Amino acid sequence: MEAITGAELVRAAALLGAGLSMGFGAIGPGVGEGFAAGKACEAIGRNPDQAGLLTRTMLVGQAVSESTGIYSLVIALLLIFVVKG
Amino acid sequence: MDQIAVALLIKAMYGIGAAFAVGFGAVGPGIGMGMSAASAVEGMGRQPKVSSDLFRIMLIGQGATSTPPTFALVVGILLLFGTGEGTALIQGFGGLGAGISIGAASFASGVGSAYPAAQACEAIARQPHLRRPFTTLMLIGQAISQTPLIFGLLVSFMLIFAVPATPDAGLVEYVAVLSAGICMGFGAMGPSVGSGMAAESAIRGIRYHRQPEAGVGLLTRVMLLGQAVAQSTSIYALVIALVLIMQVKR
Repeated sequence: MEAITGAELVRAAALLGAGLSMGFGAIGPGVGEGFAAGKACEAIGRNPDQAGLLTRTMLVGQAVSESTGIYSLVIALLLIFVVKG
Repeated sequence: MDQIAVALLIKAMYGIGAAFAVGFGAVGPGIGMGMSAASAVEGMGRQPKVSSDLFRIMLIGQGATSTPPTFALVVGILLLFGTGEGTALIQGFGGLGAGISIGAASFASGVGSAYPAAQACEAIARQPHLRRPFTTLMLIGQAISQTPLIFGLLVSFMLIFAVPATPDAGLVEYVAVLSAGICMGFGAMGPSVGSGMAAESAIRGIRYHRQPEAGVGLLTRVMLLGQAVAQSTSIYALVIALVLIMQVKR
C-alpha cells in the first residue's frame, strides 16, 4: 500500500462530509414536516370546513421547513462535484 | 499487504457491519412494539369489553413494526454468511456502510411505524365502532413510514453486491462507500419518524371529527400529501448515496 497524498485526503474528507451533511441534514426537515402534516390532519378533524386553508398553510410551512434539507443537498453536491483536492 | 490479511480484515469489517445492522436496528422497533403494547394494555384497562379487538390491532401493528428489524437481520445474515471470501479491501468498507445504512434506517422506521400503531390502540379503546378506518389509516401510515427503510435496504444491497471489487481502490473510494451508508442510514431517520407522527395525528383527527366516516377520505388525502413532502429529504439522501457509490471507478 503506497502513502496517501494530501489531495487524496482532501477528497476523502469532502466525500465523508457530503454523506454527513445530507444524512444528518435530512433528519430535521423529515421530522418537522411530518409534525406539520400531523397537526394539519388534527386541525382538519376538528374543523373540516377549513380543509383548503389548512392544507395550503401546511404546504407553505413544509416548504419553509424543507429549505434546510435543500441547503444540505446543495452542500453535499458541492462537496462531491466541486471540491477536487 | 498480503492477501490473507486482507481477507481476514474484510471478514472483520463484515462482522462489525452485521453487528451494527442488527444491534442498532433492533433498538427502535423494540421500543416501538412496547409503545403499542402499552397503549393496548391501557385501553384494555379502560374498556375491557373491546379487549379482543385491541389484542388484534396490537398484533397487527406490532407485525408491521417488526418489518424493519427483519430487514436488518437479513442484511446481517447476508454479511456474515452470504458474501464469501473477500478479495479487495473496498468490499469490507462496503459491508460496514451497508450495516450502518440498514441499521439506522431500521432504528427510525421502528419508532416511526409505532406511533400510528399506539395511537390506533388508544383510538379503538375510546371509539370501538370506528375500528375499520383506524386500522386502515394505521396500515397506510406505517407503510409510508417504512419507505425510507426500503431505500436503506436498496443502498445496503448495492454496497454489498454492486461495489466493484477493484484492488487499486484507495482511501477516497473507501470513504465514499462508507459515507454512502452513513448518508442513507441517517437520512432515513427523519422522514420515517416524521411520517409516523403524521399518521398518528391523522388517526387523532378522525377521533375529533364530527362525522368520522365522512372525514376519512379527506384526512387520508391530506396525510398522504403531508407525508409525501416529508419523504423528500430521504429521496435527497438516496440520490447523494447513489452518487457517492458511483465515485468508485470500475
